Amino acid sequence: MADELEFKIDTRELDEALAKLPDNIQKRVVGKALEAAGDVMLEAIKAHTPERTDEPTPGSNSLPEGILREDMHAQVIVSETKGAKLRVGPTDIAGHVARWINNGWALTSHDGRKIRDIPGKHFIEAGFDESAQGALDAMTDALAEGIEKFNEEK
Amino acid sequence: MLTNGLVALLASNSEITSVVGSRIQPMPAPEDLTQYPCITYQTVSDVAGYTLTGIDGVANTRVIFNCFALRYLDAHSLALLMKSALAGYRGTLNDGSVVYETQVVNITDSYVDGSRIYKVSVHVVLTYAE
Repeated sequence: MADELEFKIDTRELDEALAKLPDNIQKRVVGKALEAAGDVMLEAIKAHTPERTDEPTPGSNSLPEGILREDMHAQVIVSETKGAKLRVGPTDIAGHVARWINNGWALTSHDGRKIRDIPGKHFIEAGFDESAQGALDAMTDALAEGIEKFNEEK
Repeated sequence: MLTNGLVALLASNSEITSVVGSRIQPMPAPEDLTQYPCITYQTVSDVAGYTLTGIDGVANTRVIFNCFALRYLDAHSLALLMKSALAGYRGTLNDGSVVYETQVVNITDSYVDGSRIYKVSVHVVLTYAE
């Protein structure tokens, strides 16, 4: 989704320890740390993801019950040149519906008249806010563990 | 309730009320377009801090203010007025809520093509005393 949530942390000490590792090990440790953070955040966002409760119209192409939640994924990208990134949210399968449900929309008639405002459920922000600290803890723990493990095996 | 205090704070801001008057209300937005521009609000998270013995007395909450208008510039300018009024706010609101820190963490534009309404969402994260 275009709307991105962001948090910043001071990891200078971890950065220094990481910098002493070989490049391929650094990437692996950072990737695993982001995966750990992603797992925490994904679980919280899934817990907040709403399910449709209405009866689908026969023949409609609307998404079936449960797919919005199942479509939530965490993706870790560790680039050679652009750093590492964690994305948590829907894929292309349910992304358009997730955006409507999350951000809200206005119900309009065929002639463009506004019928009513449908407020967003903002379940992605809710999951993010709830899990940000836990995700941060998981990430720093995994970073420290990865560095320690390498140093032990050295 | 924190949101009551926030609404009172916004309602005391003459730049904001010169645009929306008293039209600051909980979601959803009004159906009647003569009631625009307007602001709606909703709390989307309210996360308490805990220690081993219970609540630590400090919570973080995200309140989203949606600025609705029939013209883009009106909606976005209203959002910027909101940002100016709320970013960095610390103090005691008139409902008694003690706010330690206020961050405007995001402002997003959207447009409803059917009814041609612009909506600019202002995401505000407050750290406050429970």
